[in-house]
Amino acid sequence: MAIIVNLDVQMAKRKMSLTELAERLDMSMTNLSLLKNGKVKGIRFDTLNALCAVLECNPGDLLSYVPDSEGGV
Amino acid sequence: METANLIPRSSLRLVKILGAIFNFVWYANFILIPFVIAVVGYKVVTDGKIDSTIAVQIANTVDSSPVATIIDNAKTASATINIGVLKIELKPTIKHLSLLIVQFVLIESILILFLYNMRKILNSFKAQRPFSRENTKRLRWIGLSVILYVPVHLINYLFDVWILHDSIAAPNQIYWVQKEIDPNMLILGIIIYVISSIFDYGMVVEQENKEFV
Repeated sequence: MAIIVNLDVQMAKRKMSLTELAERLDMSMTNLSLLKNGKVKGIRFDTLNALCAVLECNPGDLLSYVPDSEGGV
Repeated sequence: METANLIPRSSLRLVKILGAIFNFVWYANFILIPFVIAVVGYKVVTDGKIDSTIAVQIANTVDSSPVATIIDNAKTASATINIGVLKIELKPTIKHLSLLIVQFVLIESILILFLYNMRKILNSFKAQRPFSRENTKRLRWIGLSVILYVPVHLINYLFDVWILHDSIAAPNQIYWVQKEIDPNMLILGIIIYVISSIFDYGMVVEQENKEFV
């Protein structure tokens, strides 16, 4: 998919582990891991809001658009 | 996922009883199929006849008998005999044998389709996994099999009319083939089909919800 989740970059900047982030977000490790690896179809605004609050960043820092090689949408 | 308490124990007992009944009918059906074919085939070969039973309505009412055990609440009561069963011994021609085979295959197909899907659904209940897309598909097939019951009975009715006209001269002056077309089955089948579609949509929504974090 053309949307890339840069969660690992932001976590590294804040020196935060997946376990700690999951605890602070009150979210399961499984779901957070799926999100980090881009294995989800979508993200709720609630989750995005909580992520931005905990990682002190903007949604644009977490998500980026890289066009697919086929150029499809 | 832990689903041990998804279905209560009392309901599970009922599911097990229903499962046992459907399993019995399923296997008994497969034992009876060759038995029926053997008996009919033997009769055709040895006696040179096919027995055909047709439910008929009698055109002229045969009798109207007063009911002797009438009680004070009713003023009069009488029984009118206007339905009966016509038993015809047919010469086994290719046409009759073809009709018999087509009737048998149609009824058995619907029965097998219904029983197969019912057993699968009950097995998924026993395994504590009732909510799956497979089950909604199976429910849809059950709905279709109930709907198909109506056209199959209509075909059987037309076959009976054909046999009656082929065997008795001017039968309509004496008998009419009794219609066994049940619109309730059609309505029931449509309801089951619609419910399965609703469940299927619910499954899609749930799946989509699971893929969001």
